[in-house]
Amino acid sequence: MATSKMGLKETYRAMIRGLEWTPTYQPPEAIYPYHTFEGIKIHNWDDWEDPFRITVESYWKYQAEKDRRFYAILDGFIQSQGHLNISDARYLNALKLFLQGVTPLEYMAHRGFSQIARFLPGAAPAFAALAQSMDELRHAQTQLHAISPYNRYYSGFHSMRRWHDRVWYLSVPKSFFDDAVSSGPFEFLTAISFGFEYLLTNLLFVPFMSGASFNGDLTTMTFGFSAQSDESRHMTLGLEAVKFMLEQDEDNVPIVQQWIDKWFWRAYRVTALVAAMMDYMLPRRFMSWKEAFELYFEEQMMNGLFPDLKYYGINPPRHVAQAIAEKDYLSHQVYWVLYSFTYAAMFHTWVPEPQELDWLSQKYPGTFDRYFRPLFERAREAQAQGHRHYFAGLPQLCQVCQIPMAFTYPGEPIRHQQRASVYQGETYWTCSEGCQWIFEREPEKYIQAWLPVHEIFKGNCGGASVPEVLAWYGDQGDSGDYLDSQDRKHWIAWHEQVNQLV
Amino acid sequence: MAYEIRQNVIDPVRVGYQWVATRIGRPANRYEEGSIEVQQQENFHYRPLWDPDHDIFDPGYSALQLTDWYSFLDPRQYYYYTYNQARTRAAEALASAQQYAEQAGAFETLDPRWHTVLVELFGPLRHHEYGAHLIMAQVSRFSYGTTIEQAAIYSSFDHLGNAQALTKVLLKLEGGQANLAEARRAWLEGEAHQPLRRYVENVLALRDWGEQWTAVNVVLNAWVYPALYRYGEMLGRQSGLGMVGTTLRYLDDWYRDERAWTERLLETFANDPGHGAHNRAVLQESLERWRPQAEAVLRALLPHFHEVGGTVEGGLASAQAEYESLIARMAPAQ
Ligand SMILES: [Fe+2]
Ligand SMILES: [Fe+2]
Repeated sequence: MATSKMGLKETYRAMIRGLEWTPTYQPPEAIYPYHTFEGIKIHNWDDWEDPFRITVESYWKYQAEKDRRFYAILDGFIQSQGHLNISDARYLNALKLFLQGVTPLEYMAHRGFSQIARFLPGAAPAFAALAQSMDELRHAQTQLHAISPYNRYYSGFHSMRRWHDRVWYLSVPKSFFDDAVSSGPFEFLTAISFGFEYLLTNLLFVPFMSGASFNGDLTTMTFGFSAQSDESRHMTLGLEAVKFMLEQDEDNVPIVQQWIDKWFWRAYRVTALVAAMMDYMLPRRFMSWKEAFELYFEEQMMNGLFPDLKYYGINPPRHVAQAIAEKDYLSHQVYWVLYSFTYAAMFHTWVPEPQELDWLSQKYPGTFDRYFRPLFERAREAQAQGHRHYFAGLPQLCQVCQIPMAFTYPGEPIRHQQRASVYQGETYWTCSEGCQWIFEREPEKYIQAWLPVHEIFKGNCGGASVPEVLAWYGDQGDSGDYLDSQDRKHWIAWHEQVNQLV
Repeated sequence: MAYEIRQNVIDPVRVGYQWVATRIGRPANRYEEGSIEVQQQENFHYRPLWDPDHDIFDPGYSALQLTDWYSFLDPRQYYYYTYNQARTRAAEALASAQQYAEQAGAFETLDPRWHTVLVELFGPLRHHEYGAHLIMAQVSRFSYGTTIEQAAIYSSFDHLGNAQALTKVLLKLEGGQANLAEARRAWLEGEAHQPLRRYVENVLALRDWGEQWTAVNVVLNAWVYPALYRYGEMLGRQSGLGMVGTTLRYLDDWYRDERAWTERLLETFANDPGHGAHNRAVLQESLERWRPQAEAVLRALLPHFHEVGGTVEGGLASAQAEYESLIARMAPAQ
């Protein structure tokens, strides 16, 4: 028979390639209008390598089977009150950050990849993008489903959709992804497929999954394992996309370099929230932020990937030294910000337990005891006297990354940095050399940012007082210190109820 | 009688996610929980560099409007899992029918007239499916609200699957890879397929996803699948297509499934409390533009069936009836 005479590779090619054609009833640029304005030159789309030879049919089969297993585990978890088996209810605050901050990005990635699938003229990369669009929809939905049973019992999940669009710290991940989807297709691929999925995935996405696994969160962990094979396709797409651009034309190299510079810093700033989560919100910790940064970024990317990219004329990201210099204090600075503004955050914070402070001292011998332990010890004392420390007033946000301006000069844990740029007669503030460089490269883009604190002052967020803003967020006791939370009360009561059965 | 397991029940604090619960007032099923209002709605940070006049998600990407974009729910209740499950079942059924046909030698002993029809009429439709998959990907990107775009991304993936199902048949037939080249040439140059290629290219060049959806899902699909696949399969049963015809049946079944969300969305647009009259006028105008072109597509393609006993009128009658029954859904609900 005809098919069996062809090799697998040939059959696969026949299934995926050669379906596209050059239009003649419409000018090609009317059908493919978006892939030229960024200046990337592609000479032959057929040079694209497809390392994953999947067809639509095999995709359906494989994904349906994975989800069959996932939903079976989820149903068992719900029936057996699995939420009581996590390490401690404090863990859920990491999960809240994930559902509020990351799940909507999965969804946005889905829409972004639909656009890539439609508008890249090459059939092979378009198919990889289409499959990824499907995968990202899967991730958004399975995360909503996996975390839904927690939502029925705990705060901080119920209005995540609204929070993602409105709440101040969530504008950090939201603006990151808005930035990517509002860019051209090649920049989107560099930002998301390369920056997010490849370069920093082990510092952005994977820590939540490892946290779930260490803290007995069965449903999120099951999702994490079940997404692994999707993610390896996505990582491959990211690396292939960058190499493809670099190989197609030398003129692409400086453009791609600038994007790598920009998106490294942009994604790295989003990891600041992950750093705080890893070091402070996990009752059972799997590694420190600093250890993760050294292993997954310095060792695997700086020593592994970038020497390879050198061959194409690509250098390590422009502001990488600043990132490295921050690893000893980043998580502490950011958690302290979150701790100080928790009265308006849709999760809880708390002063770490004494043995947790000791763990931090041990992991950060040069900085923790000297700069940060005293803050937390003072906060604990104040709380014992009935004065839970909160920062009065609203913070200035960085115009680019939108994190409150709490960052310091590289290598100097307490000297604060505020950078001013003037554009069209107005002053804009950024937190770091990286963010300032990004701002000044495209000021017309970043002045558009919907900065939550500015919007509160403008009266666009329900009113000017904290209770009004919280009402506009839809707060139902989701904010404040963990010690005063419904979550804690319920956790204790439900475990007493269970223990009485024994 | 059923036996009774005692369970340790802790009463939940709330029934479900707030935005779904306020809308439906009862615990949501997984389709609802994974689909309703998942899309970001407000406070977008930057205008797209490639279209500064719009927001990242913007109801203004189409002239068609809904007062509430979630008044449309997919009647098939497909979310990612149930979609993949439904599709892999259909694909497995097709694969086993084909395996049976192969073992029976049905591809080698195929009536040469049908060989010609499959390669020359259906073969080029691989490219039609590819074009439709691009159009639906565009609808998935630019339509408003998760429930509509979700149905569109599945449709996009389906069309690519359809292209691959046709590819498989061409590869199994005598000629193998040469059939693909022959079909491609017919798509690009053969006179019969030019109205269809022109139609697809013209729809690809549109920026209004609502008009794209109308031109493909309401008009073109309702003409192409009944007149070519359904009618073709019927002719095959009478004239020696045999088991090879299961692929045509598969595509017609796919169309029936696709029609389910198409007709629901059409009803939703036409009966919207705030925009119904406006939408009907917009739809009417699109239908007037695209319907004659769809008919021209079929008039050019249907003569391929002459050799196997078909007529242009026979195919058109089947399409006409399908199309009329679909657009009848636009009539205001009584
Ligand atoms: Fe994902
Ligand atoms: Fe910044």
